[in-house]
Amino acid sequence: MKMYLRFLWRCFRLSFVGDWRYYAWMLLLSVIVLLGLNAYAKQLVYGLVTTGMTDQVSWGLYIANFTYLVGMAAAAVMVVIPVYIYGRRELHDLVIFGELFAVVAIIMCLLFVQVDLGRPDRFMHMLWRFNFPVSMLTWDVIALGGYLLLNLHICGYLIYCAYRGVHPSRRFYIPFVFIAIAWAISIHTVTAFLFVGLGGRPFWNAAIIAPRFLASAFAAGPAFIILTLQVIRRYAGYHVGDDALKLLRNIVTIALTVNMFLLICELFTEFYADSAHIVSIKYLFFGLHGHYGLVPWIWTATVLNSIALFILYLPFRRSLRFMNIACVCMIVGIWIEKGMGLVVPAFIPSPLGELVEYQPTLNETLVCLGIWAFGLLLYTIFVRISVPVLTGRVTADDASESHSVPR
Amino acid sequence: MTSEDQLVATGGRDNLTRRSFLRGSLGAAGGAAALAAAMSPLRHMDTEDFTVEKFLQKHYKEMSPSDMEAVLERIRGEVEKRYAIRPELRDIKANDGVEFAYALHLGRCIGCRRCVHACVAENNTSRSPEIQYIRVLEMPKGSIDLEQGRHDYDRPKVPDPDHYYMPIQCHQCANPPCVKVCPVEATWQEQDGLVVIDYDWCIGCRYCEAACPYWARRFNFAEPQVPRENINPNMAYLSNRPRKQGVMEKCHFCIQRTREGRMPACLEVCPVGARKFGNILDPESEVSQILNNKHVFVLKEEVGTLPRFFYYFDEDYPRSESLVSLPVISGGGHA
Amino acid sequence: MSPAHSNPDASTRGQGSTKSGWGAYVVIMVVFFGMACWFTFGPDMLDIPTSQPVSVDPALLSTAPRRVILTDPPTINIDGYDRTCMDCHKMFPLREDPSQPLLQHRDIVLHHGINKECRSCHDSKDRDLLVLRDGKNVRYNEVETLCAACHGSVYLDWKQGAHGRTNGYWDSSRGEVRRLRCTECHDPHNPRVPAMDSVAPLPGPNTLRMGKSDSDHRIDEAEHDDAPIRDPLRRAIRKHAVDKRSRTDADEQYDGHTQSETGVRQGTEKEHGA
Repeated sequence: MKMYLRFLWRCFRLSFVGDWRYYAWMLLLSVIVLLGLNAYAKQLVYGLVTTGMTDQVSWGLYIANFTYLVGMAAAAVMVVIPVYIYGRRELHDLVIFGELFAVVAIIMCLLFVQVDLGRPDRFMHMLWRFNFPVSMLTWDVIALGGYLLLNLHICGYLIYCAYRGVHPSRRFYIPFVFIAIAWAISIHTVTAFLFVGLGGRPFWNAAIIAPRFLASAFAAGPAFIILTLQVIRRYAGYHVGDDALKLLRNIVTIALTVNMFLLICELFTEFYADSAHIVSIKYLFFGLHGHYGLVPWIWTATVLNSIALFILYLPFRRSLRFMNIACVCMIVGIWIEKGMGLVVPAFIPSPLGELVEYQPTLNETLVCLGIWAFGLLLYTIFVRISVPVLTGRVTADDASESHSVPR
Repeated sequence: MTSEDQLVATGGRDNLTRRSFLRGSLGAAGGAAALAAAMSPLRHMDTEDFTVEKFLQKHYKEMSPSDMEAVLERIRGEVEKRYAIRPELRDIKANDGVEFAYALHLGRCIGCRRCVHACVAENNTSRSPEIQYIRVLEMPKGSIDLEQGRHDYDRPKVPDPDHYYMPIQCHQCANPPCVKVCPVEATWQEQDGLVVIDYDWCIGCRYCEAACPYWARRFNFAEPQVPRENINPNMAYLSNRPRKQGVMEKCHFCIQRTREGRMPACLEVCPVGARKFGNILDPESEVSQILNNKHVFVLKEEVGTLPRFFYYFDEDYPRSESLVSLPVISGGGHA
Repeated sequence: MSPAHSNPDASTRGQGSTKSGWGAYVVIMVVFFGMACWFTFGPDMLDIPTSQPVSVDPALLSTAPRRVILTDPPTINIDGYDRTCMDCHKMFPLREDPSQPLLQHRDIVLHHGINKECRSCHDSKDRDLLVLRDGKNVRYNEVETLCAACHGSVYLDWKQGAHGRTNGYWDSSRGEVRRLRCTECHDPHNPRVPAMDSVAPLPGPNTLRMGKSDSDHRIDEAEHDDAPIRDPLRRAIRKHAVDKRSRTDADEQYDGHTQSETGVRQGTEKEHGA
């Protein structure tokens, strides 16, 4: 026990150590986190009136980011599945980064839900009267909480074993890895059901939403991991093989293709039938009654995703630089698609046909940025800790010895 | 931690450690200061809303009569303090053998919005930001496509001959999607069919607002403002007692009136008698008669919510000389 | 684990030995304290929409019936005495020719279908009573019986509760179910309820950030007026509405025309009622 506490303590110390770039990066993130915290404090005092949300558009950036990040968390399995199901060794050493990413994403998800609540002080009402299994939100709470615990366990166990220099016992993590794979798919499915189950919102009430969620998440998530792995390779001195990146690239390519295909299916169904249900999607893509609030967003997303797909199918995708461009396009494109393209348009027009547009406020944006910065801060710290531990540069043995950390 | 560690760690490099310790604590102090300053807006927070008593308050259904009396007394005190009026606050339970229903004569409504304002006055809903449970739509004749409706019509006179008017409020559905989705059971359906909210239990996630096909739910985005002199002291726990920032509210058919046998406020003020309310389990009641004898329809039937709010119109005679005074969905009931 | 007495492990010491400068710490300090100051004294960048609380004239929310119903028999206070109709009409005979102008009751405007004469409803012998077509008398407090003679279906609706307003209680065991009577809303001489013709609507919704969103919608709709309509049903209705408007504009005497139309319809209803 003492050893474990000591391990945690050393992790804590380790997270304050780095070169000037590390400090600058962490300082930048801290500043943004503080801005976000300040904005959230204001929101707590004055209420959600500080956001751009209204009774008409009652969910905005917060839930949009939440949805996106659930996808990102779920996407960690795209690093795990090739290793544990298809035995692709090239990703084996990178699984931990995927899992850590999932942990961070889930924490961000929970924060986004928290800031979206009108009465966060009553969060514990969830424990006292939990409307399970009727409310999909309770499913989501269970799914997210469970996934967080699973990944914390897997990461913590693997890192702690590496720290002690012990070979991890397969019994203690392999079953959890497989549970986590199934769980990851379920978290995003459940999150999709959150929207799909609402009969009063035709835009959401379509079976295609859940598969599209998964497809887009499995594109954006691994794309994000591709980028972080390169950062880790460059700055943390951890070996990341090009093979691994290529494997992830293939996954991303397929997922993005499926996502685009499903988008086309959706567009066809809506626009060819031309029924009353299409108002929201019409508003989204073409505007309605002189309101074009989301049109630039969705077309940006569509163009970005198309560019990404285009790059990924051309020969020059082999170049890392082009692949990175594709990844950035995709991450941004899918973020817009989930947020401005999925959460918001279902509210416009309102069920009574009222057209009220949604425009995030500065305060709301700062809260979102703060949470993102907090997530990145956490991830940086996690990577900062896990890399030296995994490479054996920080172990239990050297706790009392002088040992310098390579930079 | 241990002296041994300390010794090993600091051995021979006392100066350096002290300096780095100094730096570390300076950095920590800076961080703490920034953190505290970032959270400083919280000093404006209404601390009275965060008491242990409120934190431990039970769910409506779990409160014993004495619990409830204590809570009611506390709320009376709060209202008295804020609005300088002693409210007649009580918890009114549903009556046996009663199921409420509402019927609205579409051909008769003139869109004067008196119901909206009577509702605001009766239910102590926020005047700023404005919260209104009833929305009156000005619909072009020949359509029940809500998207064609106008919400903010502002004519010198109503009704406009080319339009009919459709007030929409909570439909008190028998299969309420809002109740289904609430993660904390802060909203539920009572025995008399009313869907109610425990304002002290709601966490403000607004999932119900997203789920409602009738856009009947409202959220307190800011602290609701009601002028002191306008407060209605006739209050019930589940209905019109003052709400707090960050919780949902909605039409409850004026529980504080209807569960004591009276008509809802929106009905009594209607200048044309377009609104009808009563006990649907009583075959002689006005609403039962209307459901039996009139052309009745419900809004968005396809969503399967089974509303208790019905729209109806006459079969034999139109309201005025206009041959198309009624919406066309009457199925040829009129000329 | 007290952070104050740190026990710098391998890595910390490594760091400490290489970076001697205070620069980084100074930068961090400056940034943090700067932020602290900015949070405390900086501008408030909140964008909170506010609105003036709307006050509605309580008079507009009156639940009193539109009209005060006549007593039975109707009385009028003259010089401190309540007088019934017959107090005067004992002396004044019935006007024989309905086309002659009225000498009294000139404030009454009779716009009630084919009922062009006082005696259509008032008993010409006993003015304290009303009269049906078959000569039966009806008291003023059962005026709905008289109305029902022509407006049978409306009367049935009213009896069932589908027509007219009911104030007070829905539960008769707890209080009075006060169903308003015909003449509490309708002027028997001019039965169209004025509210149906002309009432200024109370202020519309101005909920959070409603803004101008819907007024754009209105312009859009106005443009639609001339735009071709795809839906044949709506097209027909639009045409009818336009026709009707132009007719009304052209002919101020249209009202009389309408009256006769209604009269015909009421005539049919009367047959039903009888």
